[in-house]
Amino acid sequence: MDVARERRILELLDGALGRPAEERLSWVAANAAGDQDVASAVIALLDREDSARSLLPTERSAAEAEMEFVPPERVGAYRLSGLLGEGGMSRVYLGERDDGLFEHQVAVKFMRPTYLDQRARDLFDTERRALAKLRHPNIATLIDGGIDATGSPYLVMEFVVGVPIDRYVADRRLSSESVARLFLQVCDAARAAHQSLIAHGDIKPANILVDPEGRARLLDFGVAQMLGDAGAATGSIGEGAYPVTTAYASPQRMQGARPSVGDDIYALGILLRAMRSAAAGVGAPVASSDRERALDAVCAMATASEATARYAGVDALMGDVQRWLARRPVAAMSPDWRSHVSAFIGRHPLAVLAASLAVAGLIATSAVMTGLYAEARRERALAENRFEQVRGLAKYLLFDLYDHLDRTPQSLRLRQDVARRGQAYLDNLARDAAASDALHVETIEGFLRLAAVQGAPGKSNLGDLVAARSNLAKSVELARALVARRPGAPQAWLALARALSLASDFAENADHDVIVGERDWLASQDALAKAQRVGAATPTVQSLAVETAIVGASLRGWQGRYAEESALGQQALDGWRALPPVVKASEMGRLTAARAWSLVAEGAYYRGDAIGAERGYREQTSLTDALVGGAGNDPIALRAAARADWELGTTLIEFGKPALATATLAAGARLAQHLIDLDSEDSDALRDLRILRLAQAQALAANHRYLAAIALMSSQVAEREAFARSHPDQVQALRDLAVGRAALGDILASANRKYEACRAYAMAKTDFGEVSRRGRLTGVDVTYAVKQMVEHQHATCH
Amino acid sequence: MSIAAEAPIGGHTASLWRRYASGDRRAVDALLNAHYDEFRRIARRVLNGDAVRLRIQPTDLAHEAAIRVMNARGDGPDGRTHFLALAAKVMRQTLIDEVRRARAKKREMPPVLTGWMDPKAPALDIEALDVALTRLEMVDAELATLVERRFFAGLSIEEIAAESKESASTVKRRWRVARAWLANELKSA
Repeated sequence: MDVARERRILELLDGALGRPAEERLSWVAANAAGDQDVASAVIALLDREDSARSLLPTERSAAEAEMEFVPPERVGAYRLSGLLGEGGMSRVYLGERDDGLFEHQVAVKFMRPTYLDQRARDLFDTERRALAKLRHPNIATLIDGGIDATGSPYLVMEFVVGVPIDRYVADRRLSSESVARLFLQVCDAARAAHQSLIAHGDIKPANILVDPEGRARLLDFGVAQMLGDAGAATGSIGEGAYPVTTAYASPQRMQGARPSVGDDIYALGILLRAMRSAAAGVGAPVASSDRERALDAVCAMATASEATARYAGVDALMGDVQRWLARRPVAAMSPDWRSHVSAFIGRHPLAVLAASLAVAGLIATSAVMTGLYAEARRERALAENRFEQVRGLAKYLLFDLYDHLDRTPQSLRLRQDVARRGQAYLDNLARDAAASDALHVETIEGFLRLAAVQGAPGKSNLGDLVAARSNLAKSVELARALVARRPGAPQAWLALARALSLASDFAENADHDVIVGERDWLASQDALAKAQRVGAATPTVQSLAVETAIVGASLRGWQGRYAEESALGQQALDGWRALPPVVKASEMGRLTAARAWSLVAEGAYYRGDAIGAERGYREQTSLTDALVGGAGNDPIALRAAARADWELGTTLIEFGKPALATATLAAGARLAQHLIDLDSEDSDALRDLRILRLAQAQALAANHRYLAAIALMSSQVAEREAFARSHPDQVQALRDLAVGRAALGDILASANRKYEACRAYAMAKTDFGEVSRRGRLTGVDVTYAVKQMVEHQHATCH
Repeated sequence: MSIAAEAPIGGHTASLWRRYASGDRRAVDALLNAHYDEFRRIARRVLNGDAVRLRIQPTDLAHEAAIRVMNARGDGPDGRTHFLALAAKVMRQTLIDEVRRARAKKREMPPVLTGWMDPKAPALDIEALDVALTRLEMVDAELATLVERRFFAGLSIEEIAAESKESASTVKRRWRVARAWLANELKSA
C-alpha cells in the first residue's frame, strides 16, 4: 500500500464531498494536479459513496432499536427480577412467583419484538400450546407464554439451575462412558419430542444445562421452529429465516429448511463430538483406540451430509450408543468397515495380490462379517420400525379406534377384538425394560384405558372385570415403579394419580369395597398433590382434580357420608367451572358436569333434602338431554340420559310427585330400550333398563296402579334371578336381586298383599345376607337399602 | 432489574474512575453498572450476524470489555465518548481474537460474518473489516478513530463533534470519506 497516495486520495475525497454534488467531478480534476490515477480512484470512490452507506450503516435498524426494550415488570403471576442471559434473538429474565401461593422460579424469555399480525400470533399461540404439552424429565418445561403489551412474544419456562453440557463435561473430565450416558439423556428428550412431532431445531451445548445431580435438561424446544413459523406467517422474515446456529446446523438447515428430525440427529452428532473433545480437555485429541473409533463412527453417521445416510431416528442413534456402552459392535461401523477394506485393496493391489493366499481366510471371514453386519443392521432397523408401529398401533386401537367403535352400535365383538389386540401390544411394550419414561407413561395410560374399556363402572364397557382388574393392577404397579425411579417427573405422578383414581372407582363401584376404595382414593389425592408440587401443568392438575373429586364424592356416598358427598360434588363443579371453555363444551366435559350434579343431588337426596336433590338432578337431565338431542344415536349420551332420568324419576317418587316420576322414568326406559335396540348385547343398557323398570313399578304403585306395578316388578325379579344365577361370581347381580325383591315386597305391601310381601322381604334379607357374607355390603346398603327394607318388613309382617 | 438509566461519565462516574485508578476494585462494578446498557448495546452491534457461532454472549463480551477498559490504567478514558469508543475497540479486539483463536483450532472454519440486524444489509467479514481498519489507521489514524466511534460504538455525529470540538458537518463529511474508503478496501479485498 502506498500510504502517501492513499492520503492524497482521502484528502481529495474530503474536499470533493465538501462541494455540491454537481461540482465534485470538476473539482477533483482541477485539484488532482495531473495525477490521473489518483483522480480516477477518487471518482470511483465518489461513485460508490452511496452504496457504502448500506455496507457500514450507522442508523440503528428498526429491529435493533426494538431490541432496546424494557421488559415489563411482570408477566402473569411472575415478577421479573434479573437478566439471566441474552442472545441474538432474545433475552431471558428470572421470574419469581409473588402471589404468595407457592414459591416458584421461572425463566421468562422475550423474543425480539417484531410486528406480528393476527395469523402469526395465532400460530405462536398454537405452537406454544403444543410445546407446553411436551413433558419429559430431560426437557425444561414450557409453562406459559404470550405476547406482552409491546408486542414482544414471551415464553415462561421452567428455571433450570445448571451449567452448559460442554462445560459440565470439561469441568469433570468425564470418561467416554459417562459422556455417552449423559448424551443418551439428551437423546431421550429429543426422542420424546419427536414422538410429539416437535423438532428442537437448535440443539447445542448452550441449550443443554446439566444440574448438580447430573440430570441434563434441554431448553428451548421447538422455539426455533416457532419463531420461524411465526415470522414466515407475517412475512416479516422470508422463507429460510429459521434461526440457525452455524456450527450445529445441518446442510439442509443452512439452506433455510424448516427444522426437522434429521437436523436434530445431525446436531446431536456434532454435540456428541463436542462433548467428547470437551471431556478430553482443550486442545487434547480424543484418544484414538478402536473403542473411541467406534464412537467416531457413530458421530460420523449422525452427521452425514445426506439426511438419508444419517440414523433414521433418535432411537437408532440411541441404540448404537447403547450398544457401544455394552461393548457390542455399533451399526455405524459396518459400512465404514467395508469401505476400509475396499480402500485398502484399492491402494495396494499388488500387496493384496501377493498376500492373497495368506489372507484368503481373513478376507473370506471379513466378507461374511460384513454381510452379517449389514443383515444385523437391517434387522435392527426392522425391529425398531416394528416397535414404533406396535406403539402407534396400541395407541390407535385403544384410543381412536375404540372410541369410534364405542359409538358404533353392535360393535361389541369388534370392540372385544380391538381390546384383545391392544392388550397384546401393551404387554409387549411393558416388557421393554429399556423403555423411556415417556413410553412408560404411555404404557400405563394404555393399561388404564384398557381397564376402563373392559370394565369401567358406570360406563359403557366390555364387561370383562377380571381382565380389567388385572390391567388396572398392572398400571398401578408400573406407575408406582415409575415414581420411585423418577420422583421429580410430574407426568409420573399424574399417571399414578390417574391409575389410583380409577382403582378407587373400581373398588367402590364394581367391587363395592369401600375400604380399598378409600385407601386408593386418598393415595390418588396424594399423588395429585405431589404432581402439582413437582410442577405439573395447572390445567392437567385441575381436570384430574375434578375427576378425583367425582370419584371421592361417589365414595362418600357409598360410605353413607352424604354431606361430604354433596360437598365433593360441589367441589368438582367448582373445579369444572375453572376448566378451559373448549374442555367444558366437549361431550366429555358436559358429561363430567352432569355427573358432578348427580353426586350433589344424591347427597341431598339421602339427607332428605327434596329441593336440593330435585334441583341437582334436573340440572343433570338438562345437560344429558341436550347431549342426546345433539347426538342422535350416540350410545354414550343415550346411556347418560337414561341414568339421569332414573335418578330424577326415583327422586320424584320419593318426594311425592309420582305422576311426574312416571313420565320421567318412561322416558328413561325408552332411552335404555333404544340402546338395546342398537345393540342387543349391551349389558349396561340391559341393567339400566332393569333398574328403570323397577323404578317404573314403584312409580306405578305410588300412583295406586298396583296391578300393573306388581306385574312389572314380578317379571323384573324373575329376570334378576335368572341373571344372578347365570353370573354367580358377580356380587352386583345378587345385590340387584335383593334390591328387586325388597322393592317387590314394598309394592305388594302397599297393595295390602301382606303374605306375598313378607315372603319377598324374607328372600331379600337372605340375599342381602349373602352379599354381606361376601363382605360387599356398602354404607348405602346398610344405612339405606337394608335398613329401609328391614323397617318395611317390620311394619308389614309383625 | 439491572438496566440502569443512561448515566453521564461526569460527577459520580468520574470519581468512580478515579477511585478505580487508585486501586479500588469495587469501583469496577459501579462503573460497569453505570454504563451497562451502553456496553451491551455496543456488544450487540459488534456481535451481530453469525458471530453467535463463536458462542459469545453480548453480555460476556460487554463484561470482558469492561474489565479490559478498567485495566487500561494510565491513559484511562476521560469522557463518555472516549470511554465508549474504547469499549467498542476492546470488544472488537476481543471478538477478532476469538475468531483467530477459533480459526487456529479449526482450520476449516469459514469466515465469521457480521451483519446488522437489518436483514437487507449485506454481511461483512469481521476480520476483513479489521484488516481494512488497520490499514486506514496507517493512512489516517484520526479517520480510524472516527470509525471506531461512529460505527462500532454507535455514537452520534453530534456527540463526536462535541468531543472533538469540530463542527457536525465536518465530522459527517469525514465519516463519509472514511466509509467510502473502507467500503472500497473491503470490495477489493
